Amino acid sequence: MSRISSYQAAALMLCFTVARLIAYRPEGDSLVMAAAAELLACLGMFLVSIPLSKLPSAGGFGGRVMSFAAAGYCLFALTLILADFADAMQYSFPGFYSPGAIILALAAAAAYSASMGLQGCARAACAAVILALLTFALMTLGACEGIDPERLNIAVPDRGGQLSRQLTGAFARSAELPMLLILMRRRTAKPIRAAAVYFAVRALLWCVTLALCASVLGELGGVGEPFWSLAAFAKTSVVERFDALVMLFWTLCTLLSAAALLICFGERLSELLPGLSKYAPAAVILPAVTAYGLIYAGFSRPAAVIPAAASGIGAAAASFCHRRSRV
Amino acid sequence: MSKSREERYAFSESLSVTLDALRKLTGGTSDLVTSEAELGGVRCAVAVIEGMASTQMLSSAVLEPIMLAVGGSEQTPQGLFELITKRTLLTPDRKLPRDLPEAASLLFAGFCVLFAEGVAGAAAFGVQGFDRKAVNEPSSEHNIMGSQEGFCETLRTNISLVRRRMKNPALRFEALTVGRETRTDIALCYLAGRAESGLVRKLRRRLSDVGMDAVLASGTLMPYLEEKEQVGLFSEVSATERPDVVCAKLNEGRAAVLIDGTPFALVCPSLFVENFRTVDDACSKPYFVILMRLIRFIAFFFAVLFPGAYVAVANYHPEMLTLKLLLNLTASERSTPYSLFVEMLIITVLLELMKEASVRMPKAVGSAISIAGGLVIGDAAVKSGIISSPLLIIVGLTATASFVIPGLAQQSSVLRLVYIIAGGTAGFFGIAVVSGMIMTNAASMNEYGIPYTAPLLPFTRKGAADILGRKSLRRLEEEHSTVADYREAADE
Repeated sequence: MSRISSYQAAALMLCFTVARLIAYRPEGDSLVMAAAAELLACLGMFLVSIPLSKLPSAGGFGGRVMSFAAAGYCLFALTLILADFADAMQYSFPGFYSPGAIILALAAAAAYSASMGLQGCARAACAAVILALLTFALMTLGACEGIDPERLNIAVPDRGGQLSRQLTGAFARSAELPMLLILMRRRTAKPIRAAAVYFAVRALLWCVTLALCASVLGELGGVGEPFWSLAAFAKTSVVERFDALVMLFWTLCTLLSAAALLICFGERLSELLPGLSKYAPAAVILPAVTAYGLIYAGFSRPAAVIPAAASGIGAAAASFCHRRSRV
Repeated sequence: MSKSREERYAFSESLSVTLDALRKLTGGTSDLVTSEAELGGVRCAVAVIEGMASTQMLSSAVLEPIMLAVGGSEQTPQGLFELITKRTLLTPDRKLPRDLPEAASLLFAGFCVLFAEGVAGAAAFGVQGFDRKAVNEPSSEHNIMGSQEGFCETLRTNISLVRRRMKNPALRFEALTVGRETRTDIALCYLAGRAESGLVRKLRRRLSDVGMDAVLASGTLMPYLEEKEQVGLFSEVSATERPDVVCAKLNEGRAAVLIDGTPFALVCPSLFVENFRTVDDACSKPYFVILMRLIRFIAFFFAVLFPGAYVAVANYHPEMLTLKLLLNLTASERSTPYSLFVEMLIITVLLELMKEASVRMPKAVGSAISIAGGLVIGDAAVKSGIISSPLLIIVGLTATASFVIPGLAQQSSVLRLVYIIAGGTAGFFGIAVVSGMIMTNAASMNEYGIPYTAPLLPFTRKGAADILGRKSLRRLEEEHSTVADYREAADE
């Protein structure tokens, strides 16, 4: 089984981060508090990931339970990512795209990318993340004239409440930690290094972006999706607004995240059912995800606690199985 | 009881029986010429295929020396055969076929075959002298300061073109035959010690697995050397018409396949970034190389992405454009009857049609087609309001850009259409989805253990200097880097 480098693993996980950062909604909380919460969450998750990355792989019945839980989690996270993306696209570009078509196109493309293998996805993720960061840097230059450091208001009411809310949200929004445990740990030569690179870049990216949003948008940054507001505000002599470019990289990162989850799902499934064709997971998941996504897109946005619960269940199942295998 | 194949096609001591069997084996082909004479009291015959052997070489390098060696002395059949095969230096290319089918193969390769009465054997001498095209300037890979010699259709000439540039005993040519019916001669070429033994072994195995009846072009062998030929958008096997390029690639640890009858050599493994390098880079100043490579990269993305991005921006994301530009575009589009997407599709298909016509038509007519297509049709289409002027500018720019990277011409033509469809139906969302699929497809190619997208993805510091710029010659002197340096280390 081919392995990927720690930087590639970090890039693949950063795709989740970029996609989530673009669609992030602070729900009225201060962006400075959100940045602080993200910083703390990254530190906490990195510390948690060190012992978890060192656990040996589970075998026997425990291993099968672990694979089942992991496959279930991947399926759930994949569905959520696609449906959330379709929902957010509706919010940002109303009337342009139908949610069903978005989910179907994205799921099909993710299945194709997944069939190309983890190495291909990881290498493509490196390119996607670098291009996205370059675009963000260009956007920052375009938004430079609107920066006012006085808008970075730390003296907000209920700081503790805001911090704890954002901290819970930061953990909940992280599908990467289970990904690190389920997939990257086995397919990366140095998973701890991958985690260190990933969490460092993630923390930096979130803090810089949220600080930029806060200093440009002020209190308005707490309403709606601050990244989109910044993209609409930023302006250069060639590009009048950055929304479309942001959407391009958002789609690309979501697609690669979905492909990574699909690969992860396929691998766990093949552990449960040895001899399964590598295309079988894609063939099974595609209609299932599409159907679920279509139904889901009709409902309101999910509470952040759902992915949090899933992450928790995944991590707990992993730990439990490892402990059993040791016994 | 009928004779077995071995018995039927074995040499006979009777000259007439052998010649009859040879004629029977070749189906009485009219270009088989045999001539009989008595040498030293032994009846002998010489056989050649007309047009494949040089008459002058046959007489001066084979017949005359034999006559001189025999003189007027009487010989026994065995003695004469030994004199010819062991005690006389004739052409350096001398073979002793084991049976008639082997003798026939040699005849078809331009050898002359000598038979003698009373000897159950034959001697073959290489006197190839078929009409061949002279070594010309390469037609598809022009350069300014490098060599102006290109491969021709003759394998032996092509081998000599490579050998002349690389007088190194480590340069190896392995002769192989492919094609069940055509029995095309090919040569696997590599630099021992530089090319990895695994690569050479894999290529040898793949070439010996070729099951095609006819191998008449380099493209026929290409799929056999590719792993993902069914799903891969790009190819890790490149074709070149230049012997100097082959030498440079061999020096980097790659292998080449020279094919008789085609002026293109196949080189593998080949990488994506190599499409942006030219022979002239080595002769240019480093700062100029950086500029040119940047232009080539821009040209590729222009050729592939620009029409699709234009359609996507104009139809879905006009807010990206400045107001003045947007007003200009709107004004020009208002006068056309079709939607921008349909217009772009029509004009792109027309562009491909013109390109194909100019490639297939005789050269004299080709320029007329360019004038008719570029000026008459384009100008008339704009004036009559069928297409808008900005669209024509974009397609013109795209067409020009597509000629900058000839190695990726096939891919850019197809991907351009795919991007137009994606951008026209789903805007930047469609472009992102297609880009993701193309990126994973290209990045997953790992033929011969070397990632196709190296040294960009995975990024290697050693190779990074060679992406946009050219390594200094002093650095090259110290490094002696090969393509194997791009092999991905999972825990770099």
